[in-house]
Amino acid sequence: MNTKNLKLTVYEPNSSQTSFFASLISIIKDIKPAQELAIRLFKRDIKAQYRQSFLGFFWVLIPPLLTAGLWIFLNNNKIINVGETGIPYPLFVIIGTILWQVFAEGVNQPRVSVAADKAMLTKINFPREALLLSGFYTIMFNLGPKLLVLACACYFFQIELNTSQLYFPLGVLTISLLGFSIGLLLTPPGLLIADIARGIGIILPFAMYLTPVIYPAPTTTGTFSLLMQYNPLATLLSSSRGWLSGSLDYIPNEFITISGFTLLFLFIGVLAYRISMPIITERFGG
Amino acid sequence: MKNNEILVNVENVSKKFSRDLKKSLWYGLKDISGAMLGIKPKNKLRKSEFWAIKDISFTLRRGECIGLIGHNGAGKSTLLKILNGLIPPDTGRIEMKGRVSALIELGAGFNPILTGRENIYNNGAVLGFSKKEIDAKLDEIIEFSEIAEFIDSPVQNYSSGMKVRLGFAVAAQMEPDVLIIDEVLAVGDLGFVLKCFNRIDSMLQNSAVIFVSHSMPQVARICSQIVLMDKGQAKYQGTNVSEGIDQYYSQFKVVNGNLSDSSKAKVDNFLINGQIPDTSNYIQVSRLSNLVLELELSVIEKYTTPELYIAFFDKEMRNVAEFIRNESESKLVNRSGKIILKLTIPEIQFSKGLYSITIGLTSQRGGEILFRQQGIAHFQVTAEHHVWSAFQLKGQLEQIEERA
Repeated sequence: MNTKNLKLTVYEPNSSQTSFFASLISIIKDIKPAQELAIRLFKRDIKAQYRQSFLGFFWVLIPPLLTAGLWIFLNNNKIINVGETGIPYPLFVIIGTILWQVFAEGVNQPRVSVAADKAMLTKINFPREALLLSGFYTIMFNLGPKLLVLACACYFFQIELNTSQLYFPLGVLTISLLGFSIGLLLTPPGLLIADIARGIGIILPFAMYLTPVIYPAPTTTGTFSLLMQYNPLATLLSSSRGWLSGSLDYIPNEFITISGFTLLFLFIGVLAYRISMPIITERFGG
Repeated sequence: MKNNEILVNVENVSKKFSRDLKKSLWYGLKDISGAMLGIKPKNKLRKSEFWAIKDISFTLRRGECIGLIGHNGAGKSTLLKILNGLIPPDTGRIEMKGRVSALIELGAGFNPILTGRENIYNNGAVLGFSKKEIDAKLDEIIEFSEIAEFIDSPVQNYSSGMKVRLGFAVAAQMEPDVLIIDEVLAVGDLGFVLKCFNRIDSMLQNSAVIFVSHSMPQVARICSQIVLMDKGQAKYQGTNVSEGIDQYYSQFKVVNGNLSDSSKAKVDNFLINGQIPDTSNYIQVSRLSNLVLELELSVIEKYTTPELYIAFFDKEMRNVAEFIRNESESKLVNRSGKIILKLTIPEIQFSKGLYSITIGLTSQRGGEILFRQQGIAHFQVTAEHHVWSAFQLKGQLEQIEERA
């Protein structure tokens, strides 16, 4: 045994005086060791989840399809009037609710993934990022059936294949990452105090109605359209829907800006997570 | 391989904790925001905070084992978490060389729905093994766990002992330079515990071990130095393991059983070497001197030939010795309801330490128990050497000339 090559580990009081750039590098370095554990944890959770369930995948689809069904019903019976949607309303709503579900899962998943392995956090020293990565894999995995439903819906409503649909995965990924970043930023406080999880549960459905999920974005001016302008999700959702249905064939500038901010948020979120995990572990006790 | 390189160096490590949950969470949020903004935390205690660990220092070389002992809440587990890198110290510095592994929680990452085989991979991944490494060690792990028959059943059907077996079998594959062990071997049957200890023994030779336990026989067996913690501080620290264990025991208040009142029999008076036993000031008896016990008993007259029983317990509550009257000697006779006895035990060979005496009285040999009093009195044996076993035997050692 060559004792000179032993890795030196040093534990010192919290002193996170590192530069933005240095942090970025250390985060990227740590992704690799976390990777294998993340895949293992992801497989574990998925296997356990589906082994205990008869309906399986169906549960991923129920929330968006129920919401869509409700609004299709209301619209068909002329109880509400959402105006001109450009594409058949059922298709419009299905795309909207499924994309919203992608966002909502992104918001919830980081906190859920970390909280699920809370017991492990206070006992074992493993790369903490693995929990986030495994959460992200879960989101990606759950995208599968959703995209399948969207494909079926497009086929049913005879949407033709066109090149603008190539932008659609980018839209889905950005929506998912924006949700994930927001969820990630809320994870450290959310693990400490129960109010955060409750707050998210109440605000998310409410926020859906402030986003053009079940109705098209208004074209007139006014406070409502102003709200749409400042709601980043409105842009992401409308663009993605446009790409899929073929009514939009370029990437709007707002979309690019929001994507940039999403990446920035994601980085800040990961950094916050890294810094706060020891403090949270300490407060968990155990 | 050099066997004396320092693998663990702990310098003045301290850690504060909050007693109040709401305050603790609030400080947590503040600390997070402070850390995000790069503000250095102050080392002052905030309201409701206290030092859970204060100024702990030690060094550990390869092949050495340090025992952390102390009563519940003394700060051992907190210190382990800091050493394991789960939480940062508030002051001080810790340096560790090489691969650090912890035997703190067995079976971390298990999912109850999945089979034992699948969970070997889950647990292994959490402990830092790659899939390849586990593939290579899978058979060995299953064999070590001795539960091959159930390896493809869901873990939720396992007994707690079986889960521990599987968890330890995975952990046993670690080849650490620094090994941290926290009371994990409490469950499991004797055979498996012995197997685990054999495995730990072989890990010991190549690593520096930090061992937390309440089991003093285990500490005495494997540790080469000891830190006795009390309220977060090192109350005793050194290489005299027996001395540390002795101080650990002296932290617990010894309670003498009261001279019990029973309708059938009772002890009226009890003397050790002519003195009345007292819990605050133990009667000292030097090793190899005579121990004289004097007893005054009241017994209901209808029991005419009662039988006395005396047992000695050490601090581990191990029954280390008993006195039984020889059958051939004349029986005890109860005429007036009072029996006065004097028992002399010549040249006691008890080792240094504190012992308690238990007295029982039966109506006759193997008959009805009239009364039994646990810990009726304590005495302290003084001796030159500190040994872990209860007896330090008298004997003579001679060297025999080599035969031609």
